[in-house]
Amino acid sequence: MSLLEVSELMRTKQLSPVELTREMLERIERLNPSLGAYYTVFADQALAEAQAAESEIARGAWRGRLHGVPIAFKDLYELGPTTAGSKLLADRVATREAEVVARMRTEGAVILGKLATHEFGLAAATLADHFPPARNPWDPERTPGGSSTGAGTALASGMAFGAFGTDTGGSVRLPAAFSGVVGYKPTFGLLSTKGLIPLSPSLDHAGPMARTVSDAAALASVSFDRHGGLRGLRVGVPRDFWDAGDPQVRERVEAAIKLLGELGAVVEDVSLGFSIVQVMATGYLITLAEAAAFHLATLRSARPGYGHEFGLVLRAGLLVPGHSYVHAQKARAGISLRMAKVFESHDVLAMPTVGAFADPLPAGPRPLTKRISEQPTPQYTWLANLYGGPAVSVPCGFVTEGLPVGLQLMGRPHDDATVLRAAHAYEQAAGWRDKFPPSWP
Amino acid sequence: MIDLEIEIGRRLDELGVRTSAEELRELASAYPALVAWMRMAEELARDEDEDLPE
Repeated sequence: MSLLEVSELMRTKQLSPVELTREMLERIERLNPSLGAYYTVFADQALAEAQAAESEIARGAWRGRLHGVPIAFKDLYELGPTTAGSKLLADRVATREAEVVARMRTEGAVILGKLATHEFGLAAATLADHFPPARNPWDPERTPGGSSTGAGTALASGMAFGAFGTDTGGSVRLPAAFSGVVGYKPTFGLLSTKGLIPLSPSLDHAGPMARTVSDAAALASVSFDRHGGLRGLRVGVPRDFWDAGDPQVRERVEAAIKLLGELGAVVEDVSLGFSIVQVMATGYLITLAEAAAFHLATLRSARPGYGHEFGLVLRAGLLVPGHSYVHAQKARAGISLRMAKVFESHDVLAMPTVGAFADPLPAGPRPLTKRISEQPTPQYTWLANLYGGPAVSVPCGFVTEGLPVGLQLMGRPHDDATVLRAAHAYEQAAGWRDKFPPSWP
Repeated sequence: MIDLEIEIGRRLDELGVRTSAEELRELASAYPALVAWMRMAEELARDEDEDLPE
C-alpha cells in the first residue's frame, strides 16, 4: 500500500497507527541487519508518537494526510543522533531539529529513525566504511544509489512509507532510480534546508522520496491535479544532452517517452546548447569549493574521522581557485537563462535520471579519478540543481539484470505541480509500481 | 607528476591542511580532470559582451 492509502485507512479508523508502526518496526528488525537502511531506529518514541496519533484520530482530531504515517530521515537532518555518515561525527547527538522534521511533527507523522547516507552526502559508500553501507533490495550486493542510500533501501523494502533525503546534485533522484522508487527534488527553496548538515549551500535541497509520486508530493505538501492527464502537455526531449550512458537505460527511457506521447503529450526534440559533462563540471566545481570552505577549519585541525574519498574531495575543493568558482557560478547563471528559454516552449523535459544502473558496492574507497573525471557516469540530475527547477525520478522499467531504471522529468521553477502531474500520469499508465523486490512481503 | 604532487602539497600546506603522500598521489592523478572542468566552466561562462574592450 502507498502512504496515501494507509493514511486514508487511518483517517477512517480502519487501520491503527500503532499496529502499522509496530509492523514497520518488526520489518526493520527483520530486514535492517542485512539491508542496512537505518543507522538509528527510534522504536519506543515511534510507538509513543503512533499512540498519540491514534488517540487524536479517535477523538476526531485528524491533522492531515501525514498523521500517523511512519516516515524516516536521512542522517543529514538534525534529529537525535546525527552523524552525516561520517566517523568524524559518529557519537554526535543533535541539539536541535531540522525545520522539515519540526514540520513533520506538526503534521503528526511517526518518525521511525535515521537513514544511511554517503559521507556528508557525497563520498560513495563502500564495504570498508565506518558505517556499513545500505544495500539495494533488488540485489543486496549492489548500491541502492546515493547519497540518500538508506531512503532508497527503506522504501524499496517496505521499511518506511516516506522518507526525506537531501539533493545537491541528484542525491534524492539517483537512489530513487537505482532502488525503483520515486524521488522528488522540489524547486530550490520550497523546502527549508535549515537544520540540514550542508554540502554545498547554493545547491542543497531537501527532498522527499516515496513509493508513488502522490506520496512524495504529499510529504512536501505540494498539490497537483492527479486527474489532469497529459493531453497537450509539451514534453521536450534533449537527446543530444543524454546520448551517453548505458544503452539499456536509454532504451527504457525511450519506451517511457513513447508512452508519454501515447498518453497525449506533444513530444518534441529540443537542444539545450550545453553538454552533460559541462553541466557536471559546473555543478561539481561549485560543490567542491563550497564543501571545502565549510570543512576547512575541521580539515586544518587534523581531527581524525573523515573517510578517504571525502577527505580527498575536500582537498580537491581547496584546489579550485576563486576565479574558477566565479566562472562556475556564471556558467550556472547562463544555464538557468537557457533553461528559461527552453521552458517558454516546453512544459516538461524528459530524460534518464542517470545513464547507468546500480553497480556493485565497492570493497574499499574508489580512486579520486572515478569522481573527478572528464568522462563521468552521466548523472542528468545536476541540471535541475543548477537552474533550481523541480525534478522527479519515477521508475520506468528494468534492465536485464533485474535492476530498476529511472525516468526523470524536469520543469520550470515554481511549477512543481506540472512535473508531478506528468510523473503521476506516467506512473499510473506504466504500472511499474506494482513490481517489488524479493524482500517485499 | 612528482612536481605536481609537490605543488599541490605546497598549496594545501599554505592553507594549513596536512596531506599524506598517498593522498597527494591521488590528487595529482585527478588534477588534470579538475583543470579540464575549470576550463569547461570558463568556456560556458564566457560572455563576449563582458570582454575587456580592445
